[in-house]
Order: sequence, then C-alpha cells, then structure tokens
Amino acid sequence: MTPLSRYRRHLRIQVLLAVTAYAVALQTFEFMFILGAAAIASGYISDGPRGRYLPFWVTTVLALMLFAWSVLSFMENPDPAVTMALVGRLGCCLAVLRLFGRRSARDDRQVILLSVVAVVGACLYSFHFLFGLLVVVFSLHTVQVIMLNRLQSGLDDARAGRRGLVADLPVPPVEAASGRSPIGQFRGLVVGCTFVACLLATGVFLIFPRQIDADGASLGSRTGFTPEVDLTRNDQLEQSNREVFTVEWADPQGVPIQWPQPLRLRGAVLDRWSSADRRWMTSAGRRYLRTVTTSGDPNEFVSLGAAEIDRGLYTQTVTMRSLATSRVFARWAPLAIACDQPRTFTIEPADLELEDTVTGELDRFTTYRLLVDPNPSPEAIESIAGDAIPPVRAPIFNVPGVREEAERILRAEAPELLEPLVDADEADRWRRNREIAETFTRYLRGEDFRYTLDLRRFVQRRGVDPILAFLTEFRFGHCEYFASGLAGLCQSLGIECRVITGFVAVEYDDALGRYIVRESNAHAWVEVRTGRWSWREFDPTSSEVLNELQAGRRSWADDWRWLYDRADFLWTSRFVTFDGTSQATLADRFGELVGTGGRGALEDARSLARRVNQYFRLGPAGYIWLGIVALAVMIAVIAVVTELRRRRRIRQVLHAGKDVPLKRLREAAFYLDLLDAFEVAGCAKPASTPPLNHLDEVLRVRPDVAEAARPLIELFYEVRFGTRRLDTSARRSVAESVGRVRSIAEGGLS
Amino acid sequence: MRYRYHLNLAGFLYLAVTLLVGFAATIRPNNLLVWIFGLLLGLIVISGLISGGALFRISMRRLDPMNGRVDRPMVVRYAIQGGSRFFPLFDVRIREVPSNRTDASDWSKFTESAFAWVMHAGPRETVHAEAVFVPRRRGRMKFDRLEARSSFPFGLIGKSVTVGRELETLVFPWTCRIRETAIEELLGGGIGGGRSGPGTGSIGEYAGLREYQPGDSIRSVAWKRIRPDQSPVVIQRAMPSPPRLILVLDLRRSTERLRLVEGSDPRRREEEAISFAASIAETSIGLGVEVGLRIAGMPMPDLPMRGGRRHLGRLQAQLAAIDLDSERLDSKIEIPTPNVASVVVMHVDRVDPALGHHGAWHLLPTNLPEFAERPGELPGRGGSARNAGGESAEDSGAAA
Repeated sequence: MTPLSRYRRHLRIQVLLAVTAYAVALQTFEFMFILGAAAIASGYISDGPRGRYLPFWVTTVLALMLFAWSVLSFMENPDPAVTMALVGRLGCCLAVLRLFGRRSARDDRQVILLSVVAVVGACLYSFHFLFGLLVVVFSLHTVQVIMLNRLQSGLDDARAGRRGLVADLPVPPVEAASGRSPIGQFRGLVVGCTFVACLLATGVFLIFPRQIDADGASLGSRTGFTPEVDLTRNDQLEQSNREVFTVEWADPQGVPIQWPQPLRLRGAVLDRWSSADRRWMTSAGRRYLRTVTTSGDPNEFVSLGAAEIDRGLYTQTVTMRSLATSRVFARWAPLAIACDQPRTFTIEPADLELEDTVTGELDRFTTYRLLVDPNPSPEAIESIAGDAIPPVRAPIFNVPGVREEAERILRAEAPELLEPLVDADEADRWRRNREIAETFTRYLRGEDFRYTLDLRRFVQRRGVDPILAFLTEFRFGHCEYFASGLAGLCQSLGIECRVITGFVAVEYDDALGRYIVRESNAHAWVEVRTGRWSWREFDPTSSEVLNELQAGRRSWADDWRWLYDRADFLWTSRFVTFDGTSQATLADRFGELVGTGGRGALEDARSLARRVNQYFRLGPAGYIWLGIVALAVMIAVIAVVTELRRRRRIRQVLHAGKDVPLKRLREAAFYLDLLDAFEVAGCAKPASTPPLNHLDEVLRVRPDVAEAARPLIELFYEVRFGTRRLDTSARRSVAESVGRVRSIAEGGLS
Repeated sequence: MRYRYHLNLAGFLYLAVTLLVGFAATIRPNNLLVWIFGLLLGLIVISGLISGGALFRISMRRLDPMNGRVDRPMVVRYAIQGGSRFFPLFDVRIREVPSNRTDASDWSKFTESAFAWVMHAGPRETVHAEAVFVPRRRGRMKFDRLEARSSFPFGLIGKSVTVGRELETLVFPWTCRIRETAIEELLGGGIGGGRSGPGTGSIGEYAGLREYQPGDSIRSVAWKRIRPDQSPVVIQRAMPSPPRLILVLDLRRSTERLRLVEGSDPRRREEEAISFAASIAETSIGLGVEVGLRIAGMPMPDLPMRGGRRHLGRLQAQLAAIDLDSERLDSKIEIPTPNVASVVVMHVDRVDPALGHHGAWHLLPTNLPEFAERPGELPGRGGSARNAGGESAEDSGAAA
C-alpha cells in the first residue's frame, strides 16, 4: 500500500469537484449530473480492472467537437462576460473526456490544469458560500493531487527508463523504494503543505490591493437585491430561496404583528433613466448626505433628523441571515435608527435612503432597528429633509414613443385625465398625478401584461429602448420591467416619480413572529410624488402574482436553510465583502495592537466576548458560560496534545509502526513510566540497550530499583512481544507497581 | 556536497498562470480569485522550502555492485538517508554524474544514464533504491559522483545535491552459450580419471587407509580401524579428476598491427576474441571442466586450472581487466603438455601454430557461430563473427 494506490480516485474526485463548482457557480445542474456521472463511470470503465480506453483518435475528434461547440456558442452570443464561462465549460468537458483516454502522469497534468481553468473561470461568476466552500475544498484537494501526480510521474519515468533498456536478460521491474509508513507521512506532508499554503494565501488575501466598497454586487447574482435596475439582460432568472434576513414588525405597543399588506423595504432609490446604458440610476446632483452614528445599544435610537419621534411609531427590526451589505432596508418612512454595533450611517434626506459607511469595522452589521411611520406627516418629512428636497420640476425622460403610448393609454382608460387643468391649484395637480399613476398601474396589471422570469424571448435590439419594447411589443417581464414601465409612462408625462429596489416581505412566520425575507423577494416598485412632502407607492406588479410565486417556490429544504444561511452570512460578511476599507481598518487595528501591546489585545478579547454574547443572546450570565466554554476548550486542547505526544512517544520507544494497534501499545505504555523511574534513579536507559540488559546495569547502580522493576520488565516482554493481555484491573495493578518503583527511585521507600 | 536549485519549464508555466490569476483578481473585485492567487503564490514558496528542506544534509551511498557484464542488466543499489529531522523524502531521483575528466573508464562511456527512484524515505530513515545499467563494453568502469534531485511536492522548483562517491567496478566480457559437443570436441574425448590427493573428509570415493599425520582432519579418522599400537588411521579418498582445459588468448600483436581485411574493426575483433574465450570458459566450467587461462602479450598472471563459479569469476575478471591500449609483450608463455590438459588458443587475426603444442586448438573469433549453441540469436558481435566468415581463407576455420 503506497500513497499512489488511490491516485486515480483522487484525480476523479478532482474533476468532480471542478464540475460541481462550475455547476454551482453558473447554476447549471444538468451539466453537473451529466459530467459527474461520466467522471464516476470512468472509474469503472477506464481505471477499473478491465481498463477500457477510448482510442486516441476518438478522444481527439471529441475534443475538437467540444472546441467547435464552444466557438459556436461564443459566436452565437459574443458577450465578453460569458467568455470565461464557455472556457470553464470546455475545461470541464475536456477534463472528463481525458479520463476516458489512456494517459500517463504527464497527461494527468492536463486534467488538473483543465479543472483549475474551469474553477478559476467560474470564480468570475459567483461569490456564494457554497461555491466558495467548493473552491476552497478544490484548492486544498488540488495540492494533494499535484503531489500525488509528482509521485506518479517519478514512477512513470522510472518505468519508462527500464523499458528503454535492451539487454540479453530481462530487466528487473521498478520497485518503489519506500520507508516505513509512507501513507501516514505523505498525509502529514499534505496537511502541512495545505496548512502553510492557506496561511500564506490568507496573508496575501489580507494585503492584496483592493478597491473601496467591493461588496460583490458587480458579480451579478441571478436573483436578489441590486442597487440598480439593469434592463440589458435577456436570460432566464433562477430563483433563490436563500434567506437574506428576517424582519420583525412591531406595533407602537411593541407587539410583533403582520402588516395587512406586503411590507416593502426600500434599499435603493433610482430616479433617472439612462437610455444609453439601459438602466435606472441615481441622479448625480441629488446627494445631500448626512451621517448619524449609533451607540451599539440596539434599544438606543438615533434620530435621522426628524424633530419629533416620541409619538407612537412602528418598530422594524432586521436581523441579517445571509446577506452582508451596507444597505439599510427600511419601510417608508424611517425616522430613527439603532444598531447592535457602533456604526455610522449616511442618510439621503431627499429620499431617506440609508447606507452604512462601514468605516472602522471589518464586517457588516447583523441587526439594526428602525422607528418607522408608515404615514408620515409632511412636517416630519420636512424636518428630515430640510432643504434637501429640490423644488418641484418636471423630470426628463427622452425616450421617443413612450409619451405617445402614455397618452394612448390614458385616452383608452381615462380620457378625462388628458384634459388640461384649468384654474387648478397645487392639490389638484397632485391629485391628477396620483390618478394618472393609478391608471397606469391598473393598465399594467391588466391581462395584456404577463409576469415572467424568463426573458429569453425578450429580444434586445439596438436602437429600441427596452421600456418602449416592454410597453408596446413584448408586454412581459419581471418586476423591474413593470416598475420601469410605470416610471417611464409617468415621467414621460412630466410626473415626478422614482424606481425603488429592495425587498417585499410576504412570508410571515407565526412561530417566530417575523417575516422571512429571501433572495427571491427582491423587488422593484415605484414611488410617485403626490405632494410637496409626500410620496406614494405604486406597485404595477400584482401582489397575487408575487404570493403565487412565493408559494410555488417553497420546499422542505427551506426549513433548513437557516442553518446554511448563517454560514453564508459569515462568508459574505467576512470574506466576500472584504475590501479596501476593511484592509485599512485591519491595518489600523494591527497598528493599535502593536502600539498598545497586550492592552489592545485585551480590549479586543473583551469586544469579541461581547459580540459573541450578543450573537447568542445569552445575557449577563453569558460571560460565565463563555468563560466555562473557553476553559473547557483549553483543557480539551491540552489533553489532546498530551495524548498525541504520549502516543507518539510510545510508538517511538517501542519501535512500533502504524500496523501495531493502539490498544496493544496502551497496554505496554507502563514501560514509559518505568523508563522515567529509571531516569529518576540515575540510570537513564540508552535507546540501543534492550530492557533486560539495561536492568542488569540498574542492578549494578540501584539494586533496590532493579529488584522492584524486574517483574515489570518481564511483564513488558510478555505484553509487547508475547500474547499477554492486560485488562483494566491488571493495568491498574501494574500502574501501582510502577508507582512503587518510582517511589523507590526517588528514595521514598526502601 | 553541492546544493543547487533548478527552475524548470513547469515552474515558468505555473508562474505565468499565477500572474494571470493575479491580473484577473486585480481587474475583477473577486476575493475568491485573490485567495486563489495567494494560494498559488504560497505553493511556490512551499515548493522551494519542502524540496530544499527534504534534501538538506541527505546522505547517499552507493553499494558495491561487484561486477557487471556486457549487455546484461547491472543493478546498482544506493542507500539513501534523509538528513532532515522533520521532512520526509518523496520522489527523489538518484543519478550518476559523469566525470568532468575525459576518462575512458568513466561510466558514461560504458552505458546510458539511468536513475534510481526513491518514492519515500522517512526523516532520518535509510532506504535502498536501485538503478539498472546495461554496460555496452568490457573493462574497468568508474563511478564518480552521485546526484539526488527532487522537485517534490509541486514540480515547480527542483533542488539537487551532488556528492563525490568514487567506485570502480569490472564489466565482464559478453558471453554466449557454447555447444556441449563443441566443448567435448575441444577436450578431445576427455582426460578423465581418478586423482588422489591430500584431501580428506567425506567427499570423494574411498581409496584406502593410511597412518594419521598431524594436520589431518579429525573427521577423516577411521575410528573402527585402530592400528595395533593404538595410533589412529585416516581414510584416504580419491576425487574424480575432471577434464582440463587451458585457454590461451593471443594478444601479442597490438591492435594497429593486426592483419585484417579492409573495413574490419581491429579493436572489435579483439573484443570478440575475448568474448569467445570467456564464452568457452563459462560453458566449460558449467560442464565441470577445470579451466586455466594464459594471456599472451599481456603482463598478466596465469590462472591455474580450476573449476567452480568462483574460479569462473576470476577468469572473467582477468579477461575484463585486459587493457587493449597497453603495450604488448612478445614474451613466451608456458604451455603444458597434452597429457596435462587440452589447449585452446584464441587468436585475433591469424592462426599462429607456434603458440601451443601440436594437439592444441587454434580458434578465431569468426568461429564463434560454429561453436555457439544458438548461432541465430547472436547479437551484433556474434553476427559480426558470422559475417566475418567470408572475409578470407586465412581468417576462418579452426585448426588442430
């Protein structure tokens, strides 16, 4: 049995991991099943005892066909963004194909390289926890496979050298020269290498120069929240049931309740449509950012600027599950905020968009609370906004054809709204705007429009605006299209409105008293200005459609997602969102630690303990529990290390290989204590002297010790080399005898 | 002991891939790529550390292979001990390093390069590995230095250690099996019979009793036959006398002075003569014949007629040690009379009846196909002997 015995199996696992990681990253699970099954089958077909291989020409032709397929796929959709996906797919296919060919260790390197290419390519398309986990496992496994490949390569070269010899007599075959326990030492080396490699990789990870605010959003999750609305995609969106956070909605008395309507939580506010980029974005000139800082006490609210917040308000408590973001998702209109960590938030007074500045912290917040007034008074909004809200003016929406479509709709649905207002005051104009928005909303919710996540038939054409195409031609799409259509219709008529992206909470858990918000709850809707200080939500996406979709997506696995999502949050919070700001914070902390020495470390330990306590919600007694747990862990570590060292010493002293069972060694372990006793008596045993011979030496120096030790030495021979077995009572008796020898050696007894 | 690091092509390719991943991690805000980039960099560092640490203070010894034989595998064994207390050795290749000197006896002039492969050796553990050489010529072969090379664990950075370990070994001449009938023919019907000697003990047939003499083995005492004066008697035994053969190798004429037809390689002809003689000696001793050796023209001692494998080794070592570049002598050699042993004289170019008595056999290398047990399977040298058969009347044919 050598480390090479399972080399082929490890190579197949390598390919399987690459295929799985690629499939998870690009959400192509049929791909995983087909290639995974083929890779497993290769173990029986090619690497099995029968050893059936595909001829070289067949593998070459198939490889060329795969290459041609990739080229055609690229020509069909020449998007640079999908290039690496195609390269990764080709890498996976070729790696599996190579498994069916006759190959040497040198050829196996191609398989390893192809699998690495596939995984690196997939890294550009996903940052999810599961994928990250697979990448880490793949990387560490690659270390082992490369090392095995080196060994196999050496063996192949040695065999090739022997085969090349021409002699009168048969040349002896290669015998792998090996010492004792090669497998154990190989594993130890693999573990050591991977550990050091991980340390170095983490070091590089920490100091690698990065941009500020790389929150991974640019990687483009198929579902979930994004702070912009991009209408350039025409693929099929995959639904994800990943829990992103939970929301507790409490009435002014503090009782958790379910809101009669879907709870729309605002994340980003977009008020300008860019026809060139085909996306909604934030106006560059509307930033009047103001900052507020929370104390770290989740019950201590900080006003966002409202003059008066002491009257009865609803409380929104958000606990993050998997999403780690700087955005704060709030029901309209938030008036005060509290967080479980000392954080600094920015607020845009004009639209109450909240964001964490993430300065001074390595990770994202886990819990925050908001005091919300669902129907805020104009005075409250005015006091928050100050002079931030710009004067009323008509928005700019220059998409030809949309205004004509808006007028056509109004002519058909409510022709009176097209008539000009004569001698109307400001209130009439706001009322007219609301009625027009309601008319458009009704129209978009009508039977002519269809909600779907499959946009593959939504053809993006050059020169045709996607909003116009949605309104006049295709009339299907998801919430972003509906919201964009409504906002486009309103803005084309000069009605001030904005697109909101965030989440809509519809799944209420009665047991928890909380809303469960999943990635699939990401939503977009519209806010129309219906007064100088008031905005009203209009959702052209039917609530029934959302509820039906939500009900259809539930599965038994969702009940267990919280477990995965908690790890997912840690992954996203600590790893994916680690950016330049986090680096700066880390550097500052390191500087503080170096500067303040142990005091800083102590403070950090306290802070860590406080965080852990808050995380598990253990209360004041939690510190005692944490102390007990830490002590127990420390004792366990010491015990494990001591036991391992003792086992190692037993094997060394007894010259026992891995083949000798540990149970037998334990029975002979009293010999170690006996050696210690000899050392105490001044007769340390040389490693080269047999025990009985050494006993003669002890007899010369310390006859009393030798006489007491003689039966034990004879017993040792019987146990170690004979068939004698010691049960528990016998071992106890032996231990007492050894203790007596030690006492004699120390001079305690005569 | 000399340590060296080596960068190989795989290392450069790996470096290029690492830089590409680093570039991708720079332009795309993806922390996974950054981590992979760090891992790739870390593996480079580990590769240098492990390969260097494992080979640090490595101990290599070449075990004496005793001798080799032309065109037969010669197994050279090495004892390798890792010097590191912590790092085991994996995938270490032990090579012989050719001598820097233009020495004709360097191993690289005898055989192609080969290496011994050590899959694993624990820290401070000694393992034995073997390399197989196939010498292509006869003579004294010298080994000079040993090199241990490893690029484990990732094949990116290799490290080698070279130590000086000089050793000289003999490569015996090429031999082939000679027909038994040919050997009987050379022996002239055999000169068998009993031959009593001082040898006592239990070997041999009973020949009689004699008086005990000091020095006789106690095992040879005939305890049941005591002389009247109570002095012991011993059993005297007679050993069968095997046939005897003396091989005379005629190398009096130097290589340049050999009289061969145009196109023949004289040095090769000399080697064929040596191989022919070695083949006769090997087959004869295998048949129980006692064989002696005289080399005419070389200042080498005569080997008496003996049997057994050990004597065969002496004969072959004598033939292997012949230095054809040395100066030839024209001295007379002592040839025993026909009633002592058969004599076979091996000439190189022409038969010289003056060497040997009237009953001696005179052979040329071209006679080998006639004597070989399987002439069709003779390789180049045998084939050349066969091919040389048509060169000239003087060059072929045995004479007695």
